[in-house]
Amino acid sequence: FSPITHRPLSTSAPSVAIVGSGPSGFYTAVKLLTTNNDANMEIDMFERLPVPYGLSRYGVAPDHPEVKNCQKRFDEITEDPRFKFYGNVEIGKDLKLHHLVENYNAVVLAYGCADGSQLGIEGEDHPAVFNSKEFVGWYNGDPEHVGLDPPLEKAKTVTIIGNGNVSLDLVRVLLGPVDKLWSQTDMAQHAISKLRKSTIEHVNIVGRRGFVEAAFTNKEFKELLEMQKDGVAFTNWSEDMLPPTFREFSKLFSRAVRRRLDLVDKYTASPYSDYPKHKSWGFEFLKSPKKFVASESDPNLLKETIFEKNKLVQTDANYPVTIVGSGQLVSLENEIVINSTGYRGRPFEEFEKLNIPWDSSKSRIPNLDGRVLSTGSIAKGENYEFIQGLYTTGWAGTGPKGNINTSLMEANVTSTSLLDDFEKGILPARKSFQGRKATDFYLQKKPDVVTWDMWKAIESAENELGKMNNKLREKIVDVDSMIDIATK
Amino acid sequence: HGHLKKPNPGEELKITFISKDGSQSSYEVAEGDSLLDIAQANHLDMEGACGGSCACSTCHIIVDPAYYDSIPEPSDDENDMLDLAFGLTETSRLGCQVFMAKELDGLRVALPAMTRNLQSRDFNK
Ligand SMILES: Cc1cc2nc3c(=O)[nH]c(=O)nc-3n(C[C@H](O)[C@H](O)[C@H](O)COP(=O)(O)OP(=O)(O)OC[C@H]3O[C@@H](n4cnc5c(N)ncnc54)[C@H](O)[C@@H]3O)c2cc1C
Ligand code: FES
Repeated sequence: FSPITHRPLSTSAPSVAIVGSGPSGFYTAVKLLTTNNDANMEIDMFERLPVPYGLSRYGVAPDHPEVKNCQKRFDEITEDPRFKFYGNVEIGKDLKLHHLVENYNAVVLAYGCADGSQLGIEGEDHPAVFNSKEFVGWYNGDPEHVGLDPPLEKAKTVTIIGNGNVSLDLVRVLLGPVDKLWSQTDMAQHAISKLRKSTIEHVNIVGRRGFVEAAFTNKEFKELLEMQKDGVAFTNWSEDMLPPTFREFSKLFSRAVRRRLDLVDKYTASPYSDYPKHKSWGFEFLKSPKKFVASESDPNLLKETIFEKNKLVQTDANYPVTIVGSGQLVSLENEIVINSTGYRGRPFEEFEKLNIPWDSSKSRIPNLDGRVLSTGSIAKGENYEFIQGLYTTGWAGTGPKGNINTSLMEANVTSTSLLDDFEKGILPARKSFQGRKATDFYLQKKPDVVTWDMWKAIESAENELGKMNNKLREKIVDVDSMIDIATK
Repeated sequence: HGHLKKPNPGEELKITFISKDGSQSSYEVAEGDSLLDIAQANHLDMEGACGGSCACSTCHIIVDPAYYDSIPEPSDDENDMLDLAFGLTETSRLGCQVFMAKELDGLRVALPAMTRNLQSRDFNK
């Protein structure tokens, strides 16, 4: 049996540890603190980095500052005296997960997805094959990826594999007019400088499936199509990208898909198609990557990517369709590739010892409504058993899908489960040495824990620097400087 | 958030919000206030994550059909965001894009649950 089940139960207001300060962790804190008014409740949030907000800070594109408005709500909740932020504290390293499990009534794993996904094909380790996680981290000033230095000043064509909204973000970054789109945002200065030198002329977006199945949303699609006015043309469109009877039977598709086609019709007709073209982008559907081929003249660039063409198979009248490989190979010339097929999560080292399960195929912690399932219970398949007091939410619990909106939903589900369990009296009791007190004891030897006020000092420094550079914000891009500012 | 104008005497417009649990709350508000601002100023459960920028759909409301046609039609941007809202209905709108007007006096809107149904998640064994 897991050491964390079958402990005495808690009756007093719960003390809760939240691992991760992204949208899902913060929305969980919001929901818990606004639903339960007990003055004795404790919500302690742990963040690996000295700075909060997860992918709201290091994922969301710099030209979409309105998406980051959720951060204002998060800031508000930190004023609740029951909330405490522990920045620069990595759970599993600076503080072990079992410490949290032993000292808090409930632990919420909201640590997102730390890695980029791998395609597992030949040539993937070539220096001109990037992952969207690192590329996005590079332009957003994520300390882990600021050194990336993609050779944009040496290349003409970039292929992006995967067709979600992140891929459309990447097209705007690669082709958008720098002064109009980026120079005043919080995009990292090193990226702005590099983009000014960029020689990229064309970007391919490749999907394994077709136009109808693509994952991007219309607002982002339209935003990109609008860039025709800035000389960034939408090219390569062909009616072959639609299923043969699509126009005739478009009523059978969702409104979103119909509007997607309306957008194509509108923006491939004049006057949009008449704007001068300086750069271009287009879709390449029904292609699965097989191999990246290095350039013969420059070891830092690629020559081409080889794809297998796919066929759509519709097993019944309803979508979604599936694909089968046709065996036929095609090549796209490109000097750089960005694999934008998603992020991947990983289990903590301690999971095994604590009997916490991990679903590697879906890249998530198996759970039901946020309650983490015990390993034995998954094997049995029915009559689920849960690990008492252990919860998950956001990308850690769903796998890498959904947006901030869904993070809010998931956080609401998880906090409802947690509070229900508390009401039912089935949260484990903490050790006599309790929650926050225990944490402060364990962390007293760590001199560089970043409190919420210290983060606010980092943020003011960033705003200050931003003002000097005529930008919304200039992010501090290395952890040491962050700590220096925070501990000054 | 949620700075509301004070309605001029005699020009108060009435709006009723129906919460998930069925409870109703009515307010007298001024012309021009957005439903998001009204809900937030009155601490109703409407997240409005993007702060009213039509970029998140967490201000989704369901309008009483009797009033739906009195509201100016949604813009393309609003329709795009509505397509992503949970539990979309025929009379769904975004609260940040609907503004009180004389024609909407007496408006009734429901707040959908900002949560998927509990116990409904599929997961792999
Ligand atoms: C490139 C990109 C662009 C996006 N753009 C949009 C958009 O425009 N609109 C939108 O709605 N959504 C967007 N999303 C989706 C949105 O960012 C996610 O849905 C959301 O951030 C998921 O939240 P989360 O809290 O689960 O994970 P995250 O945001 O990843 O947060 C996890 C946090 O946990 C921390 N952490 C990890 N391990 C540990 C540890 N061991 N100890 C302590 N802390 C730890 C991480 O540092 C991080 O801060 C985008 C995503 C990406 C990748
Ligand atoms: S508040 Fe975000 S769409 Fe209305």
